[in-house]
Amino acid sequence: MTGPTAEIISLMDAGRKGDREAYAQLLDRYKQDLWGYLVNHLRKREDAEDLYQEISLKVFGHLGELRDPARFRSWLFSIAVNAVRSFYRKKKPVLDDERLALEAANPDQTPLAVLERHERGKLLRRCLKQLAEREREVLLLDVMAELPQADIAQQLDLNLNTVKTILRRTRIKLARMMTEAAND
Amino acid sequence: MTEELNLDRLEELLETLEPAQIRSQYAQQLGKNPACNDMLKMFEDLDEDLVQLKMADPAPVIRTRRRPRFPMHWALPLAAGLMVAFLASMKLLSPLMENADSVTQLDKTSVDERLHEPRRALTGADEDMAAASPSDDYEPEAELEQQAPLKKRKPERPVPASMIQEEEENRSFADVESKPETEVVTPAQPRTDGNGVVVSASEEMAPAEKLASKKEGKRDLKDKAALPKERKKVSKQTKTDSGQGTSARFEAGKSSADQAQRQKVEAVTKQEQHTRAEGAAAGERSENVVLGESKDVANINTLKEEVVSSGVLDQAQSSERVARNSQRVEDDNIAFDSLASRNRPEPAAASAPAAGRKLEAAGLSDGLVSGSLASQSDMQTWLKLFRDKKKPLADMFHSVATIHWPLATNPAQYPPLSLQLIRWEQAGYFRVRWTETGSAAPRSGFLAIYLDSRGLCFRLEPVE
Repeated sequence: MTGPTAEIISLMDAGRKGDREAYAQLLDRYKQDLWGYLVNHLRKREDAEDLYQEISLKVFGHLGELRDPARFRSWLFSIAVNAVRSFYRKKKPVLDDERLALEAANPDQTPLAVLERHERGKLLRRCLKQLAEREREVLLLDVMAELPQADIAQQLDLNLNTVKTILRRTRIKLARMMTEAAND
Repeated sequence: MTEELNLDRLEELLETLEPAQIRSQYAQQLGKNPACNDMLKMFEDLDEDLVQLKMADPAPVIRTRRRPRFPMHWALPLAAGLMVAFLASMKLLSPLMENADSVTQLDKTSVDERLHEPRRALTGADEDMAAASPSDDYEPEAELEQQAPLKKRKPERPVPASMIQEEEENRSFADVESKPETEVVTPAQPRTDGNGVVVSASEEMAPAEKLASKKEGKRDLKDKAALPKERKKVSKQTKTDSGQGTSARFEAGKSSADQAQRQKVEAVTKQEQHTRAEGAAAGERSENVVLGESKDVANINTLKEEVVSSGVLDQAQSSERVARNSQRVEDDNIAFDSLASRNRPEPAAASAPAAGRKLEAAGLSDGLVSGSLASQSDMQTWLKLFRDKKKPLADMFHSVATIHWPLATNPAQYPPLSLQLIRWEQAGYFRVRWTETGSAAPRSGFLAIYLDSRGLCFRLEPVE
C-alpha cells in the first residue's frame, strides 16, 4: 500500500467537513478493491451490492472518527470485514450467483483466449467459495483489498507469520482445486 | 531429481520453493505429469487471475445523494391543507375566542383588583358571611363592572361610508313602510267603542275624508298597476299618507319619496338598457339577456368559454401525453430499430476503403456493420437483446438472418451468410452456426460483438 498522499489527506479533511464530492472522490480510489472483496466474499451479487452501499454510508458517517488518514484503507476494510461478519451472522449462505456483467468482446484477443480466461475466472470464483472462511478472508484482504499483511493480522487478530502461512497455503490449495476442477 | 512428482508432492514443494525453482529442478517430472504442470501454471497465474477477477466486475455506482423530489408534489397539497385547517379553525374558534377574550379580561381584572385592593378588616358580619359561603363565590359583578369597564370591541373591518348610508336609507325606508303596511295590508281590526259596540275605522272617519280616501285608493291602485315592483314602496307611502287623511301631506310626501324612487328606478332602467346594449353588441347572447342578469350571464359565459378552451388545451395536452407514453412503451423497439438502421450495411463500394481484416480460415472479412453506436450503452442494449433473445435473430440483422460483409471489396467473394445463434457465451461472444450462400455445409464458431472506432463490429471466427 502506498502512503496517503497530500491529496488524500485533503480529501479526507473535506470529507470530514461534510463535502460529499470529496467523500465520493475518496471512496472512488478504493471502490474497486472494496467491491472485489465483497463480491468474491459473498455468494450473491445483490448481497454484495447491499453491503457495498451500507459500508459506503458507514464510512461517510464515521469519517470524522478516523484520526490517522494514513490508516484509511485499513479502517475501510475493518468496516468491511465487520460488515461481512455481521452479514453472515444474520444470513445463511445461499447458492452462488454466477451472473456476470455484460461485456463486449475484446477485438485484440482471439475469442478462444478470451473465453479461456473467462472460464478460468468462473472457475476461480467457484473455488474461492469452496475455501474455508478464514482462508478466503485472508486471501481477499490481501489480493482484493490490498491490505498490508500486518494490517490483516491486526484485523483478524492473528500473528503476522500465521497470516503469511495462511496466504501461501491458500494459494497452493486454490491452484490445486482449480487444476482438479479443470481436469474433471 | 528422480523423485516422482504428484500433486501432493508439488504442494509440499510449493510451500518451500518458488515455482521457478521447481521448474528448474523438476523439469523432467513435470513433463511426464501434465497435471502437475497445470497446477504449477495455475499457481503462477493465480495472482493475475485474482486481479482480473477484481477488475472484471466494475463496482456499482453509489448514489450518495437522494434524488430531490419535486417540491410541488408535496408543498402545494400541504399548503392547501394547512390553509383549509387554519380557516376552519378560525371560523370555529372565532366566537369562542371572542367570549374567551371577555371572560379572560373579566377574570384578569378581578384578580388584579383583588391583588391591589387593601385588605379590609373583617367585621363580625363579614366573618359570618365568609363562613356561610365559600369565598370563591364572592363575585361583586356590578362593582367590578364599575371599577374596570370592559374594553370596547372594535369592528373587525372598517365599514365603508357608502354601506352606512345605504343602511340608513334602508332603515328609514323600513320605518316609513312598517306602520302603513300593518294598517293597509292587514284587515282593519274591529274596535269597540266605549259601549262595547264594534266599530270600523271607516266608520270613524268623516264622510268627506272617506270619499277622499276612496279616490286616493283608486289612484294608488292605478299606480300599482303602472309601476314596477320597486315602486310599490312609493304607493305604500301614498297609502300611509292617505290613511292619515291629509291630502296636502300626501301630495308632499308622495312627491318627495316618489321622486327619489323614480330616480332610482330610472337609474336601474338605464343600467338595464346599457347592459342590453352590451348584450346586443356581444351578438350571440343578446337574445337571452335577462334584465339584471346580463352581466352575470356574460361573465358566466366568458368563464365557460375559458373553461371549455382550457379543457380543449388539456385534451390536447393529454393526447400529447398519451402519444408520449405510447412512444415510451415502444422504446425498446425504437431503440432496436434505430440501432438496426444505423448498423444497416451500406453498399460494398461505399465502405470499401476500410481495411478488412480477413479471417484466413473462413476466407471472410470482419463483419463490420456500417454506422456507429452512440455509446457503450447502445452496445449493452445490443448484447442484452442478443443474450435474452428478445428479438428474433433475423430482426437483429435487419434481414432474414443474413449478414452482409460490407468490407468486402468483392461481394461475391464474401457471400451473405445464414446465421444461427446457438448460445450466449460470456465476454461478448456467441456460439453460432452459419451457412454460406451457395454452400451446403454449415460451419460453426464464435460471433464476437464489439465496438471500435468504426462502430459496432461483428466478427466471425470459425472453430474447425
